[in-house]
Amino acid sequence: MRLAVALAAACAVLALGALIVTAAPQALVPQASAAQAEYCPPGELRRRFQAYKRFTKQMSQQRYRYFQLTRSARARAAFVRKQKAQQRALLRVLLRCD
Amino acid sequence: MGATLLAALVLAAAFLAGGFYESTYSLLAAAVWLGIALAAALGAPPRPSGAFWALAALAGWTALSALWGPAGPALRVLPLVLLYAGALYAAEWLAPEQVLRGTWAACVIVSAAALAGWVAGVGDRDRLDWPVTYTNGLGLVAVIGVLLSRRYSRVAAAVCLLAAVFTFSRSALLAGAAAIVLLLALERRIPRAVAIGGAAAALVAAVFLAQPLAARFAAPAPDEGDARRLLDLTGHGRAELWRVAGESWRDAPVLGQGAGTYARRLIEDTGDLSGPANAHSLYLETAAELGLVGLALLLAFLLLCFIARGRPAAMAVLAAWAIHAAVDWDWQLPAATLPAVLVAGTLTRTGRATSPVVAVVALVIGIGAGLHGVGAAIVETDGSATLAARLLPWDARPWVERDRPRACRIDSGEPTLIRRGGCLNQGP
Repeated sequence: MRLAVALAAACAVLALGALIVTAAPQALVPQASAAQAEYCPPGELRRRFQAYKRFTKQMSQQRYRYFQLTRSARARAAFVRKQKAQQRALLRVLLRCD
Repeated sequence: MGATLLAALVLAAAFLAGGFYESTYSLLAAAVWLGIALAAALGAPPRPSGAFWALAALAGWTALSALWGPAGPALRVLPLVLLYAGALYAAEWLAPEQVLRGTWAACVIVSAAALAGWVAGVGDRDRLDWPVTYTNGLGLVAVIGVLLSRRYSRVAAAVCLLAAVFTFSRSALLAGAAAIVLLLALERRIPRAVAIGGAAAALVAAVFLAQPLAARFAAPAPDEGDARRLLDLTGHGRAELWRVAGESWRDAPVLGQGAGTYARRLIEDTGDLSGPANAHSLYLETAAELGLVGLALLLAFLLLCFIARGRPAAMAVLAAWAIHAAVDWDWQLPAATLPAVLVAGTLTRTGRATSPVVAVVALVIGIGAGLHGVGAAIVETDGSATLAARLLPWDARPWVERDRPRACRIDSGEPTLIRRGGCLNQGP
């Protein structure tokens, strides 16, 4: 009985090892960081990158539209400041995920 | 030999992203339980302690929670509890001195690797995080190294202390400081009257400062990511995570919402799809997911370890871990929790022999955890969905990409599914 259990345990180790090597060998090498998995779920990095890219692309167009409507230099400067702050915030969020 | 294998277990967890991933901790659980099966078949296994039975009951309660909560996440976290229960039993089996030395060696190697990696430019440049890949988790491993090094080597203590400091982890350094005070009190290096007076003064100060400190803790503030954060009192969003855990617990106080359900509750409450997966407090998350029953089992485990009263260093390590786990996700990071569990095994060992039927039970658990680990590895690496679905039939994840309606039928609340559009338009 004892010998049978010992043999079964040894065989289980070998069988599981073979299964891992054939079905998912990447599991045996270090994966992405734990902190990234905790704070940045799968697909999140791509989503944040796209949000940053989209915002950056629209910045000059939005600025142009706003400048056409507003003549005040102070309001224009405030708008640009706000835009840049939002871009920086999106970048910060993106980098936290990377 | 056994102690070396346990040290290797800690090192494997540390160098494989802290053992955070489901495949990693499941395969580590399989290794531990199959090792126990082999050793029990060839030798005389000891009788497990009460602390082991508390962890085993917690594992059983985790599995049972699949009956009232979603089965996928409940069975996903089961191998993690089994890993800790197996590691505790294995540590109870071996000579305490060997276990302490093996755990100490593993913590020193991890701390030295962290410093070397920092010099070589591996991992985060601002705060040490590699190889555990989470700064606070690495900080706790280094603090455990400091606490155990006092018995063996001052140079090793310095290496661990340096690694702990350069993580700039406030929680790890505070937990370490509290553990050192406890250690000095247990070794009677601090007079009893001074220890009691100090504890009373700390309690009074905590009562008076509770309100302003809580306000500072809950206030949002950016993480400086350098030494400046050591003086920062903000909880970096923990107050909100704890609030969600508290509300989740209030909805099901006795049974809990089911193991592994915190992430979906956070999404439900805040609408934020990118929130963290854990509540950053083992006790609150356990109460939210497993109710008062689960929390009682966890606290019983800790209490039984503490009342066993063994080596002061071992008790200090366990205290550091118990304090740190109150404000972080150490439970989900085997690299940070395994050293504490192994050290706990030196406190709780019974030394009496038990029936060899242990070998058969360990074999069954080991094979189950191993198959779960293979399934999880396939899911994590986007391998064959068919094989993964056969190994994890209760889990929606293998079908999320290939057959969404099927995934929705299995578990419509799966966070991976929600993040990719959910089930609203393709419901069952």
